[in-house]
Amino acid sequence: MKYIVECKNVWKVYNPESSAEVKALRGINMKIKKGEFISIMGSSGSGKSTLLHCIGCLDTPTKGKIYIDGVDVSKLNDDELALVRRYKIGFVFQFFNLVPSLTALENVELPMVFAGIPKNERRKRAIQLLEIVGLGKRLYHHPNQLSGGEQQRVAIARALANDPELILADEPTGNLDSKSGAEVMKVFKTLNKKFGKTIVIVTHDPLVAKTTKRIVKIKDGKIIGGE
Amino acid sequence: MFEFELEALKITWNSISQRKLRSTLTVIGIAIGIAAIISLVSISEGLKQTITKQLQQFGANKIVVMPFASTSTTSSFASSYFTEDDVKKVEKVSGVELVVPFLLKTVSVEYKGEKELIMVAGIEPEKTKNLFENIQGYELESGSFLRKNDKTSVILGNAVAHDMFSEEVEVGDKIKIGDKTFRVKGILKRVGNRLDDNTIVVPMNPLREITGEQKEITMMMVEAKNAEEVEKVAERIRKKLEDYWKKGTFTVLTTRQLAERIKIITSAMTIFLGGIAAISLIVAGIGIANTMLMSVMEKTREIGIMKAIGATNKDVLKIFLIESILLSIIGGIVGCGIGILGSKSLNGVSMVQGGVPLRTSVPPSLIAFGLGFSAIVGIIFGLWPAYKAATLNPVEALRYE
Repeated sequence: MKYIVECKNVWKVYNPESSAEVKALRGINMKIKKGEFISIMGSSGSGKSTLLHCIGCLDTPTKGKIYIDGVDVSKLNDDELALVRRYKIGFVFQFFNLVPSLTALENVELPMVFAGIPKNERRKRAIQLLEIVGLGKRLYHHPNQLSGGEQQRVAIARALANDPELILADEPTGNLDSKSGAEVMKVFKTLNKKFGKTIVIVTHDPLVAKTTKRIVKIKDGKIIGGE
Repeated sequence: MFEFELEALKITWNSISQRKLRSTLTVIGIAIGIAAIISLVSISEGLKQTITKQLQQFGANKIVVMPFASTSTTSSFASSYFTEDDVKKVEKVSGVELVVPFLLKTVSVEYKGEKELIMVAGIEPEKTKNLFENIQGYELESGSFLRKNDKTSVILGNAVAHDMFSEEVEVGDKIKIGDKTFRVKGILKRVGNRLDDNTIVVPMNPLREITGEQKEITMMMVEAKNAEEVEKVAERIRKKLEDYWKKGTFTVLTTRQLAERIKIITSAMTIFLGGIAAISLIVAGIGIANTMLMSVMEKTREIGIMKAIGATNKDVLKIFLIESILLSIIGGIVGCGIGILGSKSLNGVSMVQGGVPLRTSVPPSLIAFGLGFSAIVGIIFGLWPAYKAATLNPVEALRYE
């Protein structure tokens, strides 16, 4: 399978056939090859986050098909979607979204807990991942004891926990200063180059987009360039 | 195998201990309910055992014959009675070893100028030794039992001698019952049963003279020759008396039958008291549901995160169910502790002054029931909040502030 993501005429309509109807996505066609490092750019309200949620199996399209690693996910039920998220996809969010009551190590372990990986193995891998993102000395810190950049790197380590092929990042630098943002982008670059991960970054920041190898532009729910 | 559940337990323990006040209040609710169940059930069970034990002391070969239907109220107790003829009939029934007829009356008793109304039991004097030592198993504290032809001696219940009058009554003292004067010949050891401790035993004939009751017999205590045959003997007595008495106007009960009747009453009491306690647990369960709903709301974002990183609906459901079960089981453990203390503190206490001391105990099965019940409350009242958490839309949950 050459493409990790394939979108075919994807529509997402909120509150269909009512006065509050919003057509967030209007017939998206897009293919992402395995090992690509791409950004989806657009202004706020352009539908870029909705697209990411649909690709990330957090949401299902109203119409059209999305294939993840060759599997049509637009027809899967809640539990099947959860399994795709668990094993195929790693998420990185703008606001880090770490569980505040857990340490950095435990946060990275969490996806492996859901995957039923034994404790020892889990711990070993989580430590490895935190070392890769440069936080080998911050294992037992809670999120509120970490800087924004550090939290985001924990989140990246967590996204890698079950070794997914696809990393989806929603404005990963949107809440960081430029230095931390640059560090985070460096980590993504390494993951793409060294570990061959497919990385999709949603952003409105041209500087971030420039770091990636391909830029897909989206406006009013339609792709207007880079597809 | 329970890798996930164990990990979930750790996560929920974290979240419970982070909200100490709310968790504590929820736990207290459950603890009160469980404590109430444990102590109330153990008290009523203790009561049942105390009564049963007393009846066992009484001996298995005893039969009580009463001149009223066992279902009737005490009002007929006074209006209906046996006569000496009935006693003779019962004495002739085969298998009967001994019949002790009683005449029970409440009479004014005077000691050193002080007057009290006291229950007086008229018994044929030669039967007192046999009755107390062999049938009842009571012992004398001082003095001796009555002898045949004793007409002016009495035996005092322990409380009559020590508590009833401002001055203690001793063996050899004179005491006035009705218009006759008697000498105290013996004092019984404390039995622990209000009725017996507060009774004076008087020879039958002098009591008849005092009360003017010439034929009346209040009840009969019958001893069977053979403990194995006691039911048969009771049946024979019943048959015999039916020749003279209308069916259902008298009662013949063996010790075992008496014990069974009392068991039915005390079991009903156990269920009733337990039921009241169970209601308090339902209230506590609603408290759990409330706490869990708040927890789900507060953790909406966390639920979104968990779903995003691969938690299935079932995983989320489990995590929240474990949280509510954990809360309720902690409550259950605390409640068991309080219940055991409550039950212990009532151990040895009498319901009425001078009554039989209550023996309460908390059997392991009751504790297991308490813990199990608390867990069930946790499951039932945690299910809906957990279901709500499990079915949250991940995108909306992640957006939740």
